[in-house]
Amino acid sequence: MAKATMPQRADGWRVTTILAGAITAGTQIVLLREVLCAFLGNELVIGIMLFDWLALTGIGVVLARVWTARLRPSLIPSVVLGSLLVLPPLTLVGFRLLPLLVAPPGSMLEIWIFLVGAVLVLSPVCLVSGAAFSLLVRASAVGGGVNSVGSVYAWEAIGSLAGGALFGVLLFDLVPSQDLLLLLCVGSGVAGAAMAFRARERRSALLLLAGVLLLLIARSVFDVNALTFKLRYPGHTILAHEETPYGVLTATRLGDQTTVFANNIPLLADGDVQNVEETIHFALAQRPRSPRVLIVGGNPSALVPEALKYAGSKVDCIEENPWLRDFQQKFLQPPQNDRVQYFLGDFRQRLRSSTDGYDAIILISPEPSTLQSNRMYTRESMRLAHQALKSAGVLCLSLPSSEDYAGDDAKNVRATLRNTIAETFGNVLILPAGHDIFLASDSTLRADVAAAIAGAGVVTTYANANYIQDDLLGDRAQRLSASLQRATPINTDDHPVLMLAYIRYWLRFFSAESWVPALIFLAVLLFVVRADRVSFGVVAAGCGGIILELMVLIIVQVGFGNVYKMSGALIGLYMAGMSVGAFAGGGMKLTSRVYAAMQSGLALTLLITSSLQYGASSRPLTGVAGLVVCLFVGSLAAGVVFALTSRIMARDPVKTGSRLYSADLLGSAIGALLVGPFLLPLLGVHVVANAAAGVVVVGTIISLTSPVWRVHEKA
Amino acid sequence: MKKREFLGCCAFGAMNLIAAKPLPPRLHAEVDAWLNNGSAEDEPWKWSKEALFVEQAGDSIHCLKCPNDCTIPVGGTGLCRNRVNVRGKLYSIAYGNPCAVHVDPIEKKPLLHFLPGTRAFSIAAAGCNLACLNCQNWQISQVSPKETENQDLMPREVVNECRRAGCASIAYTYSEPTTFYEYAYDAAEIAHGEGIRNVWKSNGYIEEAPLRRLCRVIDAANIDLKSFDENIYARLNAGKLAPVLRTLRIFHEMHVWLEITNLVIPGWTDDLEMIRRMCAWLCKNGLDDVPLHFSRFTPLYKLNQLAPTPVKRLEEAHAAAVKEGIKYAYIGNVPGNAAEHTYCHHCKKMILERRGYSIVTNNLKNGKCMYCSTSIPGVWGL
Repeated sequence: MAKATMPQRADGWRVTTILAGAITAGTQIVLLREVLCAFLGNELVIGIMLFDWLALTGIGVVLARVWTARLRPSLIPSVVLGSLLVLPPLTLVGFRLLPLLVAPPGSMLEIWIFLVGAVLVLSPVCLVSGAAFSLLVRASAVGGGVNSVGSVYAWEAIGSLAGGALFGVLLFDLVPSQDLLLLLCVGSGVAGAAMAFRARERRSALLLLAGVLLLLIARSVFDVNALTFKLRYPGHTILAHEETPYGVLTATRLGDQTTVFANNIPLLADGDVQNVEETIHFALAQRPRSPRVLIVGGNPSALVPEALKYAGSKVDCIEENPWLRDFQQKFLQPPQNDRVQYFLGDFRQRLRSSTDGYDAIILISPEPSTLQSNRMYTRESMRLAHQALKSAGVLCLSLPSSEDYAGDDAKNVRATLRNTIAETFGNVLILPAGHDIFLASDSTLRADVAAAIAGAGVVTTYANANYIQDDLLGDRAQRLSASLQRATPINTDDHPVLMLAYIRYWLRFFSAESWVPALIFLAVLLFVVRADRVSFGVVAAGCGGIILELMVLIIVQVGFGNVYKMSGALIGLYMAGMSVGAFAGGGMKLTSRVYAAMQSGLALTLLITSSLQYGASSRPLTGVAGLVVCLFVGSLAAGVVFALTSRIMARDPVKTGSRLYSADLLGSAIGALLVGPFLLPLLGVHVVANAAAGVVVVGTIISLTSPVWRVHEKA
Repeated sequence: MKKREFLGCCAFGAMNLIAAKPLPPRLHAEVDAWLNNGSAEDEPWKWSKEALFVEQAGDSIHCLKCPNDCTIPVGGTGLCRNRVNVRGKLYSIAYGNPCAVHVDPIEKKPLLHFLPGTRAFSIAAAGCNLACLNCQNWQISQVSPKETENQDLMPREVVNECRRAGCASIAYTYSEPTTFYEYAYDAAEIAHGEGIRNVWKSNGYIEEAPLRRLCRVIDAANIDLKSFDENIYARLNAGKLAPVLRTLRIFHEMHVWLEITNLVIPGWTDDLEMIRRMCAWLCKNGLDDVPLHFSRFTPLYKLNQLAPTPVKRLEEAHAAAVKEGIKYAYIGNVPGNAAEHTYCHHCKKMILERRGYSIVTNNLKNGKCMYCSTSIPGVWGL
């Protein structure tokens, strides 16, 4: 095997590194969107996907060190860009078509197919992306120096920042994601060909150009969207399809029915009489006299007419997703009436600003399987709703039906929600019907809803004594309520236990256990546990860095609602901090004190970030400014740690780069998998932040006990 | 690549592979037995009864209850999850331990020609011999009785509770009663002897011998005919069509009051040509006067990425059924639809005007249409 310690610098490695970083960041963003669509996009699934991505990239880094040692440095840019020319589009097509080809039509993927499929589909692009790092370190190395590792890391971060910004800004507004990815890959292919020509690698250049041409021909012949629609919506007429920052929206017509799908799940549809009438009338029959009603989310076209059946009622509807509201107006035509007002924005802001007081607030949200949807079911939301209600006002929420039977996990979900509501409201009544309707008030609540609706003089199709027999409903309600007498933690913004309970319940669909990802985590931990002591600091910084990033995203999400737009900017800021840190670390004085100071800085920002969460809610501008500073400082410190470690490891650059980059990715993978779905709901933001800071400190101590520091400082 | 790195990669892949339970169904019983090896229970638990319809197959036992045809080794469990081989004897572990006990209007089953306006004391024990992607009650159908929260209610007590609740019938429902056959049969036998009717709400996936025995004590059945295509049955329900068709014929032949439910799922079972073939088969086999309910699908369980069934498609299915000669076709899960009423198949006049589970107008006298005296099939009075 050729020694790789004295490679020749290849032209264009910086451009190649930036392009590679941009392509991989763009691919990751696009694939995350696909995962949201193909699977229930909860934090567990996203965590698994990120984990697979980071771990496979880490493996790619290690493999490249061995398998590509004979590659001429001048060929490296074209090899890297050539590989990244075709793999991302192929991966995207694989991700989009795999669920449609493997899963029965209209069904969600089995989790084991997702676990295996994600590894198989992601492997080529991730392994190549990891390998690219090792190759580029080799291409950039000069005379065996090791500073190039930090440089490649920094340039790659700049590329990721550019890719993230490109996709964050353009993806949803101008160009469909798959076309944007294709454009980026084609552009990189052309750049690679130009560099190959300059380096007199004509054959490579021609191959790259041929690849570009093939890709463009494939795009013009093969319409992946049309094929996806055909497989996913057989017999439907597609009315509209839009990629939005809130997810993919598709409106279809099947027979006489219009359906709006959000991330492939039917969200709004005509004709769901039972659900609509239960939602409105179970609540309004409690306070039927000229009620003032707030409906959050849902399908106003169906809900509002029912609410208007109550004489003198006034209805406010609020929807946070502007694209969804456009779809509603275009395809479902909600009623326009001087008794109805439509608002666009975050429901919490509406609750805060409401002064007149509502008789009923009806919260309609997907199940609390994600942090975003969990936000509607927390103590904080209950308190705001309580403030916005009149003294005898009623709050209404719902979960899927447990009319016939609720298993232990389903009971846990319901008990957690009931206990969370009961902390704020004097009475909670759960009516197990087509949905489990949760009613809450400080005043009395009636379980004999059919009688109450009849008493209000409201004529309904379903919500009446012909369908609802009050004695039977009351009996089921009593039994369910009795079975929920258990102590549970309270679901809060910073301790989303309901989300974890719901993910556990959801895993029962597949007979899978929630410790499954922990197994995967252990397997990889065993794989890299052999890392030398000095690398532990990088593992810890990678882990701490990604936890910091996730925490900021979560705090902003919880405080302000949807963060899709803001997430691009925050992730960009994180990458920028890493990049600046990696560059700065190349020129800093290399001492254990500086190293320890940087790690301490990261640990400190973790602690400060967790305490800023309350500031973000009460003083938004100051809070967000504080979070932004913490994110930048923390990521900068992590970047410096990487660069310093690369300098202290007196090895050849490729070995150093691969060891450190895989350690960094491993730390990030562990953080991504464990924090969102498990640690945060189990422990809450504060404890997670403290634990992450602890991990960083322990990693630093282990790293500083490595003899390389002593040898270096003696020298 | 170093050996350790290679092993690490393998471990990573392997962990992903074994992270869930992707077992082909046929391997289930074998693996279950293997996992229980050495720790298999010596005695069945309290809610067990020796299973009926079995034959010895060496150490294993061949269960003859349903078309899944399980051969269950010692320590193993059938696909239905509640038949266990304990030391060479097969036990049903769902005897006297229902996980769901409720009172329902009989129309909810749905049975529209059987004691209308009465209530059914409804029970279920965990387990099912199919695995439908859209199962409404997956929390009890796709688990073993050992995993559910159960009540202690032996057959005699079921009948007592039914009487106490003022119900006209006992319905074996929610999950699949074939899997708790011994329990259901014993309760039904007692009820039958005491004039309480028995209702079988089932997927119809049962072998002929147990079914014929069951017909002695069952008064009415509603069978899910999930589609009319073997391929769809295999993919959507993990079952077969032919045994269900046989069940329909036998119930009818044995004079058990029968109604059929066909869930119309967009993209799966909403093909009108298939619905026509299904109706033609029913008519050809003398089941034209068996009420047929076209039920509206809503996204459930694993089948969560489909639109609900458009009402228009249900109405088209209803029209196709009537055209093929089905005398009593209904539309279910669509409150307020005109096809929830009963019309005389002879004079076409409305004889039972329904609003949900209530009868608003009754033009039926002694089981005959008041307008043309045509006899309307059904069990109309106690």
